[in-house]
Amino acid sequence: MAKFREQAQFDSSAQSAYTMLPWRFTPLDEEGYVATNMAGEYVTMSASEVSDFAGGALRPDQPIYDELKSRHFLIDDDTQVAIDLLALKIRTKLAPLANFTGLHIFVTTLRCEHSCPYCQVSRANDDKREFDMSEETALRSLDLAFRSPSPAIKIEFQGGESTLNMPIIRFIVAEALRRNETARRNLAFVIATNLAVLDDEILQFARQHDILISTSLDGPADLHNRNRPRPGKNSYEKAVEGIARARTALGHYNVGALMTTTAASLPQVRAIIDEYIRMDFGGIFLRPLSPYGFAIKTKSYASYDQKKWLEFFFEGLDYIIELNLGGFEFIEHYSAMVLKKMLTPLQTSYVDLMSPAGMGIGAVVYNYDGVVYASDESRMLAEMGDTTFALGNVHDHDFADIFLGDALLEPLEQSFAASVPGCSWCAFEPWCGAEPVFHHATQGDFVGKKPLSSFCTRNMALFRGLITRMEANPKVRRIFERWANIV
Amino acid sequence: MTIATGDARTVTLSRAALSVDAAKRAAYALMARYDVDVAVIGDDIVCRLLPANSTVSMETAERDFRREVIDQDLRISIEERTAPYRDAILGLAFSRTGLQDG
Repeated sequence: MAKFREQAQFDSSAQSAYTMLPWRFTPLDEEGYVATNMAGEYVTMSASEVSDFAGGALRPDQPIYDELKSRHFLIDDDTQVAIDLLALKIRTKLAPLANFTGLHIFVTTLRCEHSCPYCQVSRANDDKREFDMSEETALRSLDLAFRSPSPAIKIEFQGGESTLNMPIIRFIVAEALRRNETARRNLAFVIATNLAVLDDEILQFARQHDILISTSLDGPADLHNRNRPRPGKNSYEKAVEGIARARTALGHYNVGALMTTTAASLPQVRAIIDEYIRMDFGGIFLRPLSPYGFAIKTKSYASYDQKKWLEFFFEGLDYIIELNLGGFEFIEHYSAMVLKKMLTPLQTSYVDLMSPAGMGIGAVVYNYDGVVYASDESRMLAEMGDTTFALGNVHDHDFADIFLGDALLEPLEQSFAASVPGCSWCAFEPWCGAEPVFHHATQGDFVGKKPLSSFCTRNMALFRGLITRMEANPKVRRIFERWANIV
Repeated sequence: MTIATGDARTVTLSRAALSVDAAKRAAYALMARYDVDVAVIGDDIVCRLLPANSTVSMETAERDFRREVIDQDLRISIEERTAPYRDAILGLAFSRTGLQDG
């Protein structure tokens, strides 16, 4: 007699039919599909597996059966625990919503000494002081920031060139720290700066208050200087020198950089990545242009299409994967944020990938003049004359007016991805964002027709590209799993 | 049944086999490529496909549309059959958050 009973004796799966739990499927390529459950966990399936599963014809001895069962796509007599686990995972994903607004962007000035044609923040000449934030506006903005229930409050200073109004940055930091003695939030500060006017006093101040620096680096010198003109034509030299000085003063990892893709960047993705490696950054965020501000006025946004950007992105991603496979660790940050949503029960705080949208409830902008915008993109739109997402003014409105008003709640409600055409039946919806500002800017309504949306087509291509790569190569999957757990 | 007229294609679907909602969803999903007019005539769903712009080839229009309708019909069926579980799971996820009535 055998010492142990057969494995099948412990498995009740075969005893009765399975029950499907909610799931969605979307084509991956000509042959296969991606299926996701309510928490965004995915499996790849053939067309016949999709049809068999949906039709109740899947057999427990088929390999896909256990895969679907382990990822809570079905329950059977063997286990019913999937319902509780799914609920727990959904609750974990949505938990950050209860914290409300964590990122508070203070536009200290619109002045800037750069004149970048792609600038998404319509800049002002650097001698026009009427575009500076006043102390009174700063105080009222801080009133609102500290009304947020978020246990973590990050105050980010943006411009123009934010440091051209250094007195208000000093004032806001001092006042926020004073208020936080009683508010006791996890308070952090970031200065977004092109580093061109950085001096030792600013660095000393940043070091004293643990302020992070976020800057722009578009790639090698010729590309960066072409993209980012300034008097002296030395934006790159200023940025590189500033990064080195800031790292010395603040610590290597307290200085971050972002790039923007222009038409001139398209043939140079490897050179751009190499520049980030040369500058000893741990990763890069390959970012397309956004349809706002000077990027529209100067036609920079229209200078390349989606197809070209995706070719640029995937050439860059494959190069980065190649580096990692060769043992050199380097991250593509947008992919990493998507992978976090695909491979973990956690969310990213990146507002473009949030649904409900991140506008207002993930991040909010206090403009130099006291107008409160639902997002950075919202104020860019306002600079073009469209004030749809202006939520109020710190001088005239209180917290409830601004955060419970129709200007915020209507776009949030209307654009909620799980209930809009195109998204509600899309398997990629758990990983995607609602983006009402983008769709309003490009199509004139908060929801947008998704098949015509470049945000939708770009993300769909990206999701498929990531899945295809990790399904084809287990080593790539391990790299992606690492990325998902870093960001 | 398919009738081709110039660049237009007319695809006829049986209401006994497929839902009108599936045809409407397919028309939505393919709007970047085809303008689709959906009409119910007797027991049939009659869909007229036209190119959405001058760059669209109509060679595969009927195949694309039929595949999309079948996918959408299956999605609707899954949604209907799993709706009680969806409600139960969301109910559990939001329990004890104070966000529910009652």
